[in-house]
Amino acid sequence: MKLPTWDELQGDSQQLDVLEHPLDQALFVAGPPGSGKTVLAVRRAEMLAESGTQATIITFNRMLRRLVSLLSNGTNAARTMHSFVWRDYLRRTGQRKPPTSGQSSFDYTWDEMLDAANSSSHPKEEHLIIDEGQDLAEGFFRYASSHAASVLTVFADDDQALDDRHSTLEQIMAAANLPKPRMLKSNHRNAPEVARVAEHFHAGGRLPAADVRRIAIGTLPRLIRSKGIDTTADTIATWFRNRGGSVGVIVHSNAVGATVQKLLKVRLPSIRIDRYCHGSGIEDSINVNEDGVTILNRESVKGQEFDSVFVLEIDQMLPWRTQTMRRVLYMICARARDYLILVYGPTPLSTLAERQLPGPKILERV
Amino acid sequence: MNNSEQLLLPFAPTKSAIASRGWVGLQIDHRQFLDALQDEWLSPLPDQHGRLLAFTSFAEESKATSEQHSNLITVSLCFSLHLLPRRNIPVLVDGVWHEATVDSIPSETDFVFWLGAIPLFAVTRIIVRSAEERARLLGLIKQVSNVSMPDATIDIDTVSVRDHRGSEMPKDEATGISFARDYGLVRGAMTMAVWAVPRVDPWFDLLVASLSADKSRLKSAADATTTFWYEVAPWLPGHADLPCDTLDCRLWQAALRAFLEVHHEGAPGATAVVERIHEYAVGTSKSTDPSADKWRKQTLMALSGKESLRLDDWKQCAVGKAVQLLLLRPQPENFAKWLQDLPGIPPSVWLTAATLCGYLLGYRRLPTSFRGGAIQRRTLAAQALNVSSDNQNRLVWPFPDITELSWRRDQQDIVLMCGEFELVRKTPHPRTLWYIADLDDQAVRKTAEDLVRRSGWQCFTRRLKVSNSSISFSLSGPNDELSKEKQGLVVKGTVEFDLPEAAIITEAFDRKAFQRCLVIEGALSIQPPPVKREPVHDKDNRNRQTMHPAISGLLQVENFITPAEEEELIARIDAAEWLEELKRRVQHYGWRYDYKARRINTEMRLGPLPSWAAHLAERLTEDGLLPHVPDQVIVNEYKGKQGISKHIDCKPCFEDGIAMISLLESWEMNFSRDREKRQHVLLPRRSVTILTGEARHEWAHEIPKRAIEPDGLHRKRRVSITFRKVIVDTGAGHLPRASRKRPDETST
Repeated sequence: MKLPTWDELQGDSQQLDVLEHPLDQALFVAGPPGSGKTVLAVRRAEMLAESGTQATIITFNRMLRRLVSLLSNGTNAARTMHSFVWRDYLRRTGQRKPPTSGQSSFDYTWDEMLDAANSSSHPKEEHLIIDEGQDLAEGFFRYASSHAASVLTVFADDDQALDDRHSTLEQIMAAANLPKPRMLKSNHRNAPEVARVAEHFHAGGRLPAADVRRIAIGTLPRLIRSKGIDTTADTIATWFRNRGGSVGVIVHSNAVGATVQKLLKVRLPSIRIDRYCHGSGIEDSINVNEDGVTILNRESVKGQEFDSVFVLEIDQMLPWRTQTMRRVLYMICARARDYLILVYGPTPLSTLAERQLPGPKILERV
Repeated sequence: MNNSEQLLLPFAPTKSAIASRGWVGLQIDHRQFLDALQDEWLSPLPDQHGRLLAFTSFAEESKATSEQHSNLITVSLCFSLHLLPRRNIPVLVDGVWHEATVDSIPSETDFVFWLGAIPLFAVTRIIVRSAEERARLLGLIKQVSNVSMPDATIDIDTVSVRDHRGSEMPKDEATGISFARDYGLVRGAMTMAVWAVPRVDPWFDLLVASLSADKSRLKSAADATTTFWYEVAPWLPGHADLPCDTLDCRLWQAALRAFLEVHHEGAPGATAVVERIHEYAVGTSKSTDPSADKWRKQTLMALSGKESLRLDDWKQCAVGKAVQLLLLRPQPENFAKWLQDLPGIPPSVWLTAATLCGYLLGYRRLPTSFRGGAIQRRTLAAQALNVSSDNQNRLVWPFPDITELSWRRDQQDIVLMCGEFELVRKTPHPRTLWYIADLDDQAVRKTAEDLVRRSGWQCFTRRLKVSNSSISFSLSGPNDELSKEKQGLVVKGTVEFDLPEAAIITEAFDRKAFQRCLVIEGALSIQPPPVKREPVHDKDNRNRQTMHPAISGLLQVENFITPAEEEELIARIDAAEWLEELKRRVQHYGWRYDYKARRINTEMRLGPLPSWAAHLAERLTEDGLLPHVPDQVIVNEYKGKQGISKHIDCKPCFEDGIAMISLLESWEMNFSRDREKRQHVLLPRRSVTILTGEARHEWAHEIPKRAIEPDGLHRKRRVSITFRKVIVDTGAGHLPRASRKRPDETST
């Protein structure tokens, strides 16, 4: 992970508030995707470890691998909610399997479990850190706060639920007896040049305060007309050789993504060239932050961040006709930390599309 | 006598004792502390001209800030008086301000007033109120790239503060420590130059001569390294006005000027910076400058991504090439990766680019990994201050200043010394080993010749050998001439010689040219010179195995490695590239290990083990220590307080049977299993430790993070080599898909 400087961190008061929160006090943090909740969860666990407190991180299944990989060396325990509950329940009641209702063996009957665990004298965990709290059942929070742990830290996202067993922020707060949530804002660390292009696409409403990185020397985002996919691959390969770092290539169609991947593998044989599609189940992997090229379709960019971003087939996304399409463009552009390149061609952009783009002082034409 | 008259009188010691040693203290909140740690100076609060410190106590922080925010941590700092610069400061004795020098503060003093910024390297003790606060403070520091803890003890204690309400502050008459506008940039440039210095002797001559402004030595060092622009380095007084005419020199001064403007006026964008550097380099001369124009065009093409950066023309303008490298990757972490991506970078281009990188970024934003150790930091901090101040205001520091800089070789390491202090120690690069290699040794010489041919260096002289014969010659045209002068025959025009049959043309290896190439030329890969093999030592003596009484499956063999073998292994390891992605440095061989994914698949194969590792791997199996020939090797370097947290080696990734060879120092490893008593196991230097069965699968092991070993050893450096056999993940256990169906029970 790229760490901020102290000056940068001070410019982000919500993140700083969470990091400065006393380690022996309960904490509730809410924020949109991409606001760095998982990273903050791991950092809190690290700080707790430093103070000699064993903290366990609880998360929903799909996040486990991501979390474990974030942990610097696997010393902090990370468990799925199910794995944690099964083990904890066994220790408290001697029963292998928590009571459930319905057909799924994971549809726990929390009230019954709470009663059964009441008489147990098994010691509590010192501190549980729960990530993606909105994906966990309300009953779990009651169980966790009354039996499982002395102190709870919960990170949650209000509108990112996986299925119907999720909890709202209010439910979590009441069930786990937590203070009011600290709200994080989305946290893209864009260079000022990139931020200006992203803001151009921001549709109405309140613009989130720009979280702009101070960088040594910036480069204006550019709009490139490409003769074809081979030329585009050449451009990306040259860019990577010169700039290094992490490069994200965002495509409209999976077919283009697959072709670009093939062409780049030939041009950059010793470099990591990965491709993620929506629904492949690995879009949450954070390895994309390592140096190399990651090709994604626009549905998979959620939560990702790259040093350089190439947006291919921009002519397929322009002109935008709905505010939703415009928001997608905003979100895509905000993925770039330092450099942003929009690519279209070989046919020229329509006049309307051209008019919807920022002017040449913000987006250089090449 | 009233107060104002007393103010400037030196304190006259009468009956009162002089406190020759001692400390002064103050309290600040952790935000101020981290803010100050960024450049390691604690500046006065915005509306003040200095800081009030209590003598052998703490001046209380202003209540206003601590009440604003309940999560602020109060940090009490002790500044040692004998680490502060020697100067006169106001001291408050019995409610009256006097003046005293730092090393003769009267023992009745209540407060001192430090004018201007106070250096944090004088802090010897830091006190917080609770373990929770200490953890939070250390945790916060770890979450920030450009801040690290000072070399001070950090204690948990309640402290008494000294009330200063009611006492007037001294008037703002003397000047305090303040910084010139390029202070941070000069300090950044010096720091990066020390970080990047190419590891061959003449480069250390250059660094020492340039940093210590030793003009006479600087000239010859710059000549030996062909980097005469270091005679006008930004840390030399008046550097911007020194004459410098070549394109290299003009670009150097132009880049420094442009970067200083970037720093103060904000970034105008990379393209504008190129135009500005070009403009400054060309100067006012009306005539066009084709080489400068060519540099401008090439740079803009690379920046726009139309052309890849090329290195083959670096000799035309090394500074120009360095500026291109930097502009393409201005962030220091990305910039540092040029070394992997373009291993053929010539040393002069690399050092120049790194120096400019430090200047462009400035010290404050420089990540701590580039900053070096405490001695280096304080020496350069003091020197950067001295560079920018006139002679009268030069501070006298209680430690050697940079004029006492020198370098020496310690075994194969190169050590920069400042007086008797070790500023920085550099492990040898293959270039260094070649530079001092014995070229009379047949094997060494032959490998050197291979290296020269492979790299395309000009190190052979063609020589004509004629014995006992006369040679006739003919002039082709009327203007051709052959004459004999002191240095040899001089040909004007063309002369043809008729050679006797016995004449031989040989290629002579030019040692001087070879050394010069090692200093100056780029090369894609340089392997270290071959090392003479030690005879195989006594096997019986070697294999004295010890089983651990409490940990089943833990076995140790002392002296598995001889001292000579250890030296060779370290040389080979240090000559290879280190991965810097973890807190400690590591090298991977055979298979890459992904610390995050904790699995190994076929794509992670790196290739066969290098010969030194393959040799040891075979020996481990032959001696019956491992049941299989290991195929994966990780070299770990632990320095000082570095350690490794409690872990069990990834079970699905590696077979049973793991070997760890310990080099350079003997450190303890702790083993723990559930609620059993923790076991402390010494890993003796040059021993091998084998983990099988329970020791491998059930006991977690760790190397504690501490500076001193239980036996009193002050840790410097330990290198461990771990041998394992990989189990390749075929993808059957792919987690995301599997975990949808049932909860994952395996990871803890």
